[in-house]
Amino acid sequence: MLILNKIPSSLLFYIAALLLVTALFPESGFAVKSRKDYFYKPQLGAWFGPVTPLGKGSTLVDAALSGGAFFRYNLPIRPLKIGIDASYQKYESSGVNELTLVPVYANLLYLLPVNLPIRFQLKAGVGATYNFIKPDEWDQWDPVIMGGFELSFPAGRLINIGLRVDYLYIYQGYVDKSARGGHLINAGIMLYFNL
Amino acid sequence: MSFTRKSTLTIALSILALLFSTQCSDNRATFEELENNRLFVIFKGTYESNNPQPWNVPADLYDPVAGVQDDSVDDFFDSSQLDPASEGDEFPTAFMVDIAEMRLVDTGGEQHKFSNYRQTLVFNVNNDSDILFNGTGYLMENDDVEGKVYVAVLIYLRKIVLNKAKKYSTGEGGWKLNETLRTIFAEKTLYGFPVLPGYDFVQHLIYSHYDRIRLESTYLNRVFPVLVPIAKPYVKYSSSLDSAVLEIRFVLKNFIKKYEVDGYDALGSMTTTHFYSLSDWLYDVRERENDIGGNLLTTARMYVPGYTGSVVGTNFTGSDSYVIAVPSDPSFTDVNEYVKNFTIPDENSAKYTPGGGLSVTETVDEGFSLYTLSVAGDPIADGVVPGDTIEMISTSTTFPEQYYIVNTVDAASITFKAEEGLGNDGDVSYQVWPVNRREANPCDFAVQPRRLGSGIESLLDYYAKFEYYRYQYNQKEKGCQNLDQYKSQWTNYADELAPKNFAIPPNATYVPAGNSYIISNITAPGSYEIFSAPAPSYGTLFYDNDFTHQGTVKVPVGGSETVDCY
Repeated sequence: MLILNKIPSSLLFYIAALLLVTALFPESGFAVKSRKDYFYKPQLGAWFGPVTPLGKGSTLVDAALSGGAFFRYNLPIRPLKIGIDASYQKYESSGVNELTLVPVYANLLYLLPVNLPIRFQLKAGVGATYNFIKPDEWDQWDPVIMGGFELSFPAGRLINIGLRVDYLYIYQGYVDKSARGGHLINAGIMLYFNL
Repeated sequence: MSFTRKSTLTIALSILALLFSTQCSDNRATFEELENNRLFVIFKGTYESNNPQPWNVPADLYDPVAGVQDDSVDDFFDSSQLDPASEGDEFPTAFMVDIAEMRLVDTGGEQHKFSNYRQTLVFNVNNDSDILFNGTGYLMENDDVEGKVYVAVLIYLRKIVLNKAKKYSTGEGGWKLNETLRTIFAEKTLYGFPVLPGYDFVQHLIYSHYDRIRLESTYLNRVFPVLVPIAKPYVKYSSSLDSAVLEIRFVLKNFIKKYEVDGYDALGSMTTTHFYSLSDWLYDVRERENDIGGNLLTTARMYVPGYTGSVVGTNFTGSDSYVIAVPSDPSFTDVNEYVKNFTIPDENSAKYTPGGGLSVTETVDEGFSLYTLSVAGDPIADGVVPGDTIEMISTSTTFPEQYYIVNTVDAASITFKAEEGLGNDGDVSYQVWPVNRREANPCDFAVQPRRLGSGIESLLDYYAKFEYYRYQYNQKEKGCQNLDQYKSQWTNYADELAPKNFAIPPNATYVPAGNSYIISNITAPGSYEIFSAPAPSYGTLFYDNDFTHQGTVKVPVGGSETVDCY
């Protein structure tokens, strides 16, 4: 509360009012409505970029280049979208270890109420991932949860260009309580269309 | 619009539900599986799989018969020729090996990478507590492999180094120590110079007789990879096993000999380098030959902990012995590769000595003569066979010792072929040695000398050596007329010594006289033939008829069978 005391009360009031308006009237909270509206259309896109396992996994397989596709649709509450995301990630190593993952998950996206041409979205999701390891040649599906952040800017009415960073956790604790599962970071540039 | 939104949500959730419904109860922790190994690779430097014989390096490093020095060393025989004598040869203390990678070969001949790791390893030689030589073995770095039956391992050897290699040069007062050789191992250098004392003998592990005439001879490397056969019984490796052990063995312990390489120093004086490498017991090395290929003897076996048994017993033979267990085979054809070995002359004992009062008859045949040696006993009963070597030892000094090949044997005589007039001399005695595969080969010519230096001394040495080479060449029977014959003869020679005729047994142990032994970790259930043989002398393995069959046992899982040796 010390910090709050140092901020002028008028500024605090302004921030509180902005948050309230954003929450209650998401479509009316911004000045340029018409341009934003294109962003609330259904969206289809693809991403491409570096992916890597974290922790112990990073010593077993190498980072790789990977890519995926996604589709997003609006929810009745304006700053929220629901999306489905699928990607293909093949991690090789200097040895014989090889890990192939196909995470498929649904996520909820929240558009941060920042009045800038660049849009910031936070996202979180759940789904399942197909994983295949060599040399054992085992394949199975495991649950995955994810969280991420992305920024994008419009290039005309139809196209958005963006950057994204996702964290994925592949849960395997249900197999064996001691199983750590897999932690991944996916980063990428993306291109998507307002349909 | 609201209908579309609802249906999208429904579809998304349906997909999720479908994905989770495919979860099976037999899922495994795949990330831990990547990290954990089921296949353990153990590297040993011994003939034995259990309880290796202690190091018994002869004290005399210069004795070519019972000592460490090979009989191919001809320039500098002992430390009395050295000034000062205290700077003479020393037995190596370190063994270093640089492995680029390992691969497994399945029954279809397909190669599977499983250890893409460069491993540079250093072990103590002549030290019974070193893990490479005490029966424990070194655990190698590797990944898992696909579930298959594997029959061989390929090991890519970049360098094999033994230290204490010394270079001597000639000068006033005889031979002098020039330097102790150093080598680059694991890229370790100081100001660009190699720092580790040692000599890399991978360059010498080629065959004199084929490899020298091949186009790729300059870069040929016989141990990149070295093929290590995995002995029977084969085990199917599978990722459902908790663990499996692949034991790879190189015969190094008590199998190191000293060789030499000639050269000339910057001043034109002759130098000779004494280095250590594997014994030439299998592929004989002669004077002035630097190629010692084929003598890296290896074996491997795979077993699954929990599916093993053991053989135990006591050595009542009265001598320190080796006991081996090889997979049973009623026809004994598969067993013979382990126990018959092949026949090479045991330098310490002649096979047959015809005795005194011999009469020799000579029959001239196209420049050569057939000599019939009439003997008192029955050479057939004494085990003389065509192909054995007959040595004619001069009791005077009129001509050097000669070796000939036995042509035919009957109950009272031995026939051999020699140059006219040479097989019969008043002043000789005869001895028969088991066949020396190399001697028996008509294409076994001496290696042609090469001029090594640029000075006058090297030129004169070269002329002298070339004359001696011509003399040796002319000694040979003219049974090798062209390159095709040369190739086929040497291919036959290599075939005779190939793994199908000679193999290191998968399970072996050393047992001192009167002591009990245990051969553990034998794949069970299975039938095994148990053999024993007296411990061979330093630098040698077993000759034909050395092994005595002690019994056949069925080894149960987790149990042990007793076979005493008499």
